[in-house]
Amino acid sequence: MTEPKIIITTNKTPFNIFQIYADTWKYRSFLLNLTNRELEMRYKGSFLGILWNFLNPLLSLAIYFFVFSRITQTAIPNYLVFLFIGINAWNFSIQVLGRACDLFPSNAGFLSKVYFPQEILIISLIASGAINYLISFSLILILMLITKASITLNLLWFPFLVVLHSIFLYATCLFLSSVGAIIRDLSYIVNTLLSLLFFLTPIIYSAETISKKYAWILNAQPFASIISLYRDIVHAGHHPNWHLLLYFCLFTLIWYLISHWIFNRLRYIVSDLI
Amino acid sequence: MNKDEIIIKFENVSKTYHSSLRSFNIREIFARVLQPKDSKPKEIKSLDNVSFEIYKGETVAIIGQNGSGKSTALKLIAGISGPSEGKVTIKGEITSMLALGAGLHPDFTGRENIFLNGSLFGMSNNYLSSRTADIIEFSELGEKIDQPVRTYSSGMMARLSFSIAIQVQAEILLIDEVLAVGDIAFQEKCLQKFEEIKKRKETTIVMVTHSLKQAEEHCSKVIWIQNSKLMKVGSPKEIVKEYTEIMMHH
Repeated sequence: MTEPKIIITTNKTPFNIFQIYADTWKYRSFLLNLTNRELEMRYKGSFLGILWNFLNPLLSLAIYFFVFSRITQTAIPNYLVFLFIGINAWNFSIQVLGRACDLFPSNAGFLSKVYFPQEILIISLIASGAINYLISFSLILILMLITKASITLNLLWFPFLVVLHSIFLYATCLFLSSVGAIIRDLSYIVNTLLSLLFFLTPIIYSAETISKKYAWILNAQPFASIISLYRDIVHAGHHPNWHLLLYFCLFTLIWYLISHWIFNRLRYIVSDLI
Repeated sequence: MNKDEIIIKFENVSKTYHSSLRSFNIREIFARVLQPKDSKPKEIKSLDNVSFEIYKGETVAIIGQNGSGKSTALKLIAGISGPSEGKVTIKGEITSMLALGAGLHPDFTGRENIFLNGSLFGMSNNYLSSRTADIIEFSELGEKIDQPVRTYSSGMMARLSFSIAIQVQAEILLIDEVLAVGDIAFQEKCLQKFEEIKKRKETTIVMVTHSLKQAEEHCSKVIWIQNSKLMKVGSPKEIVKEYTEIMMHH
């Protein structure tokens, strides 16, 4: 028989990342089932069901494309692919972050009755978002074949960038979900900030059209960095900008450590509140 | 393994809830900052300096009036909540059956819920598939298992929940009033299952109950909590007698 696990809790339980993820791993079946439920519930009852996964990005793409390429003129080559990458990556971010603040209150039934690592709810939220993202991203490949855009081996960076993007969202969710459960106003603030951020992120325009003086500020904003990185490998077809990649990795790592520390400090306060 | 091994240990545990935190919003933060110091947030002490030990294989009942802090004690053992002061030490895997039906999804069928709910208790999908037949049989749901849970009566839901939760092979089993659900026949069946688990002497059971009869018949030890404080720990006969006497005087 294996040594029994010993858990000691005081009002200052130490922040042990390894313990947290060992626990999370134990609940992997729950994570899988929860993610499945998330995916099944999303379009349950709608006539077209899973097809909406393709239709949604296609329709929004059509609108943006019509407005920005037909009404205003753009000099960006293969604008359709360029636009699609930005919109998809952005949708992935806001689908996850838009629900992060209310994540714990809306799952109060689970959280106040049964013990499981709260991180599972966040991972499941991101996993279902990432699956939808991958499905709609597959349309980009079709689009590239149709528009005869060059497809290079640099596309192999894509899975790595999705993982990196997911970790960044995970860190942000750790912060938003725990603070948001305590300060209920946060979800309204975040929703407003997100709609502002849409314009401060080069989604429909290119960061290069901004004057060189300010372009770096745009790129330092993580939502912009990740979209830039996606475009490097898909739209431009070269390797990701090394400086930007390094910057985004470091940013994500530091942000993760801070937000997970905060999350852990608030863990029991959150479960007492909801 | 040592029979006298301590599985659950509370050392001077206190738990305080800040009632003003309940509806925390921006306005209140400002109010807090602007207000003078003497307007301290209201605090509710749910447990006050409680210490006790529970040994391996024991079946323990926590008794006390409503709001005495027994459910808080159970939440601290389960790891759902943490103490404000003091130290809680738990040795082994825990299953908490704090509220049956908590993890059931109304739009999913009973069968689908076996997996969703079972994995919520930390069981793997593989293990659950091997137990599905047992769960369906024990729950007495029969054909109904393939219908959405929202069509179930509350008794059926409780039966399904109990049948799933009982499959966990944990070292510590926490039960909160769950034996009060379902019809008499099913309650009897649950108690029987209970005795089976007890006989194995591997599992430590902690339950919160209002039924003194259950505490006396099924438990080896009773912890009595009154007004957030530990009153007494001892044998069921002795404590139940004293408890009844005190309650009569009130």
